[in-house]
Amino acid sequence: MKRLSKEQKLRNEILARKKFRHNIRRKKKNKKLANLNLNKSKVFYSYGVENFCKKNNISEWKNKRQNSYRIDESVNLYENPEKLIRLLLQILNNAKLQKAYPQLIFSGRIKFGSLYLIDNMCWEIAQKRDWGFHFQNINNEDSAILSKLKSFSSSTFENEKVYILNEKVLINRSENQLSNQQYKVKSKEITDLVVKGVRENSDPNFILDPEAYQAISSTIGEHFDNILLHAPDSEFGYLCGFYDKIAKEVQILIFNFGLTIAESLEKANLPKQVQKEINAVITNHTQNKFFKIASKKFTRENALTLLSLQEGISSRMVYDKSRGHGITDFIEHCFNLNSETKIALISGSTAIKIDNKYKIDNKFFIDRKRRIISFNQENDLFLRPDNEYIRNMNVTFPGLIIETRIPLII
Amino acid sequence: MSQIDINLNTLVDPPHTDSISGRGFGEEYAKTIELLQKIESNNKINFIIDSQYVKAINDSFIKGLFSKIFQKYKTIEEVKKHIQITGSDYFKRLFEKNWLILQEIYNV
Repeated sequence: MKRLSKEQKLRNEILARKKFRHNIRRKKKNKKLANLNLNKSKVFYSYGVENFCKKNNISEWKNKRQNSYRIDESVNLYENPEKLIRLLLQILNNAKLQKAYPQLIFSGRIKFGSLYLIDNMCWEIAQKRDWGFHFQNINNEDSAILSKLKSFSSSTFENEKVYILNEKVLINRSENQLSNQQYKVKSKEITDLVVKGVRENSDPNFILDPEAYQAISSTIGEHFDNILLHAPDSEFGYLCGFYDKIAKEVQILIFNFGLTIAESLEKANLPKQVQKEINAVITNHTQNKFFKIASKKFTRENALTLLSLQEGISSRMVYDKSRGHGITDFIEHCFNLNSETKIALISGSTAIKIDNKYKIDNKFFIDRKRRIISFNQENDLFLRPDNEYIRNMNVTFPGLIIETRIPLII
Repeated sequence: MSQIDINLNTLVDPPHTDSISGRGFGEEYAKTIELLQKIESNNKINFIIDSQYVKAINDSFIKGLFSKIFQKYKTIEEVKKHIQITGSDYFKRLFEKNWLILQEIYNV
């Protein structure tokens, strides 16, 4: 092996340093250019979407594949929410910077929740600029859904395979809590659609079980209650009900922009005993090196979001200690109805999926027995949760998305 | 002890709504009907729920409705002396489930 002289070593070092500095300058220049282009863009979305862009540094989301995007079955809120959110960000970036319509290349059937969110963002863009998509390889079912789904406003759509009901729900914050909330009307419309669908397709005398009414009502009611109480800046919540007549599966997707679950908990003035226990869990995770910063697999935000799912942990506890049961009640009702239920919850950079692997169980926590779900075999909040079920995403959604899929047993 | 009927069917608006929900709604409704005062005046409250009109009642509404009652009376046994549910077994079980949680919270 040839040994390098001191002079050669020094020259190589200088060259390496030069190259390093050049790369940094190039990256900075690209970023500056991207920001400059974005600043020049006249496309400004509504506050929530613009905040979504800002939180994710939208200038960095230029699609490397020029003007086309690929979407397949794996892009969905339950299995891979990060992929879907990345796609939404790329679309939003594209609409700010590109003149030509992009192309969306389909592969296989796409989950409804993904189609709904893409459609929703496209309508958001279309309100600000001339906008459309060229679709490639789209199958007939998805094409029918996308052509009829008008997720920016109230709409319903029905064909021989699906029912869709869609609503941008104004959050009623009037002093008079007895005044009606629009979501209750939509909750009834969704249960009516399910009954109609089953009666037409299989059983003309079908009557929906009380637990099914309760599960659907709880899915919608508890989340809109949460938006009302925990997202004070949210003007709207988005609600979509989808009934697959063939699979006999109800899907409900609700989302809103606003505080994330973890932000809401961190800002709260919690009772001392509760705050002490939350701090104890976080300290335990830190000491046991659960928060590995390099891998970013589990973070403080993920842990706080998980803690907020537990019975009686709420940012409103200081007003009344019987608060903070809504999410646990909703999960319980859905699984009472069918253990094959699947729930995806996305808030901030945290993605949680819930199925029948980890169940809610009564355990002593803080000061009393509570319904706890820890996503580990021991159902212990002080142990690390399964990273298949609680995932940290490298993107963030400023608000909350909840997708619930309940197969009906008929 | 006299009995006062409270008809929860009036909280839905057929054919537009068939569910009762909302934590705040429950708390506000308890104030509107002066639930605590009526109980303190030694009345028996009979909640009437007709499943033909009311298909679902969210747990949060029930907790909001009874939170102040459990703060004062602590146990299901005491609350049951003043509260009665006239409705389907499903709704009776639902109320009992939420009462159990409230008892766990306040009876410490």
